[in-house]
Amino acid sequence: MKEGDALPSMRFLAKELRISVITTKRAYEELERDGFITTMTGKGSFVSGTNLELIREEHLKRIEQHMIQIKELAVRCGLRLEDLQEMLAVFYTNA
Amino acid sequence: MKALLLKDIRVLSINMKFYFILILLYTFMGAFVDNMGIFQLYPILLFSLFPITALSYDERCHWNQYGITMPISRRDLVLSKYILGIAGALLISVFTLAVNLLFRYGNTDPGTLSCFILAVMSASMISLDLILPISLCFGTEKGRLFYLGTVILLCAAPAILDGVFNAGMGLPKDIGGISFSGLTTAVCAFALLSLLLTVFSITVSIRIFDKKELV
Amino acid sequence: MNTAANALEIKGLTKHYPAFSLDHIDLTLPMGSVMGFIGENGAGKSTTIFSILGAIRRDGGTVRILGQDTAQGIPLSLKEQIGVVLDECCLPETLNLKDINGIMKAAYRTWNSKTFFRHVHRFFLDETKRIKDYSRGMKMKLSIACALAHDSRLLILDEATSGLDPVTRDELLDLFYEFIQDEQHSIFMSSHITSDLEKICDYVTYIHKGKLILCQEKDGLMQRMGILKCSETVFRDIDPAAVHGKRTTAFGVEALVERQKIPAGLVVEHASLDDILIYLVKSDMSRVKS
Repeated sequence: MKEGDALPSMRFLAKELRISVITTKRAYEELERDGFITTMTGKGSFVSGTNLELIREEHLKRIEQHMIQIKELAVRCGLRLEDLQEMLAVFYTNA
Repeated sequence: MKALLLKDIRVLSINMKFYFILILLYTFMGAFVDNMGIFQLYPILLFSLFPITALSYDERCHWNQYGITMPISRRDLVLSKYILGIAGALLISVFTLAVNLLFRYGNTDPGTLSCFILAVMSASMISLDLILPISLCFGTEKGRLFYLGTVILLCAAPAILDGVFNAGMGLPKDIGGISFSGLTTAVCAFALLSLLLTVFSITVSIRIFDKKELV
Repeated sequence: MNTAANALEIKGLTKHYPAFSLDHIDLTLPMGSVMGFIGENGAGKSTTIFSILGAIRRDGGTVRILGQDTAQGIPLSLKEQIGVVLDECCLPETLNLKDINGIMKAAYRTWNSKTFFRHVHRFFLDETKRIKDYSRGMKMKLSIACALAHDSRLLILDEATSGLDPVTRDELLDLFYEFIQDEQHSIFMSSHITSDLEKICDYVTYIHKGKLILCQEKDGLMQRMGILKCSETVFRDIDPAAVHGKRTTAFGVEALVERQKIPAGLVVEHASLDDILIYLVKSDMSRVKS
């Protein structure tokens, strides 16, 4: 979703996903706390532009964490850096 | 209230079609029979007891526990049955009167005829006044048992009325004199009694029904 | 328009029968929420609901519906805003849909015939048939259509979906979701089909032998609780405060526990609303309070 896009209303989301309204409310509250969306009473929730950077940072952090895990597993199987790079290249070309 | 009456009339008219036709037939037959008796009495009696039948249909589908969740008060639930009985009895009484006047014109005195019909209607209302509180508050089963008792009373009524009609009331002849006016007074008094009893019955029913568990 | 904070507020609701008592029921349903009312047969669900509605006279307690006190009975204007669906269709079975519509129109000021028939057509209910020729599912759908065709703000359902097939229940769930799209609409539903409640309910309340044993947010409850399966020896080391119900089998112990209080390393499985009810009731350890 892009900056300024309107999110579906909490109640509509609950209906479509077959969950309770409190769940969707909580989810939106968390998103707002983390700065991803802004909620205006009466109008709805919208994607925050200024925090796309934050999202990117979040993703980078997670990639780093995954990389650490990959390295540890690779060491255990005796894989070298070059082997890992080859494997990654395969995924990129096939994606 | 309107909704309740609508429901009862609709349910009764669907389920009691046969009875209605029978009643109309009875009324017409009564017009051609010499002795006013069961043919005149029976339709009026039946009509005033239709509320009990309506009540038993209510019981069958557990209407009360649902009806009370609608914009209907307990008072409405009670009153609607009385209105049904009174209106029904009135309707058939007027109808009986009209039919008799039409087919027996010349053979009968409208005054005494009206008196007789009024008397029968009053008796029917008294029967309803006694049975409705019991049926409303303790169920139609108990109501029917009670009804058996009152039927005996009502079967005796035409005989009594007949005797009154023929014997001119038994009032001292120097008061009022003519048997007709004496009869009128008696019947009017009877009708008044019936009215008072109806009011009393309604009050009692509303009081008891208010405390009743509808489930 | 009443903008009360709570759709339903019950305090100390009590009702005594010779063999059974409703014992000081307290519960609050915030406006715009859905509450599931769970309990085994005979626990007092219907008694509670009928006491709220005035069909049963209560022996004690207060009930406020949509902000209005109902000590003197529910005002007729308030009944316009309450839609009720009971576990059986209490409409005279010799009537058909047109008759029902006519009666309801006379009863409710806010009755909308168009809405009624819209729901009726959506359910494919036959307009010419009498109610006695309807299946149980169709009768339920009719009852729900009646509850939705006037200005209901609070929907009260008493075992309305029991005895219905999963397809019908799914359709009805859709309807309930539609109903709560409006923030001023709330639902109070008793059921033992907890799979439906697990989806739509915001809050759950458990009742057992006339007593309230739990009234909490459903999500929080299901996240906090879990099923621990272990041996007797392991179980002895568990903090007793964490255990809310237990079952001993030939192979060990199964217990309803609070995840956070269980030491890491032990596997705690997901607990469904059914599981929670069974464990709480079976071992009679009703200590889970909000």
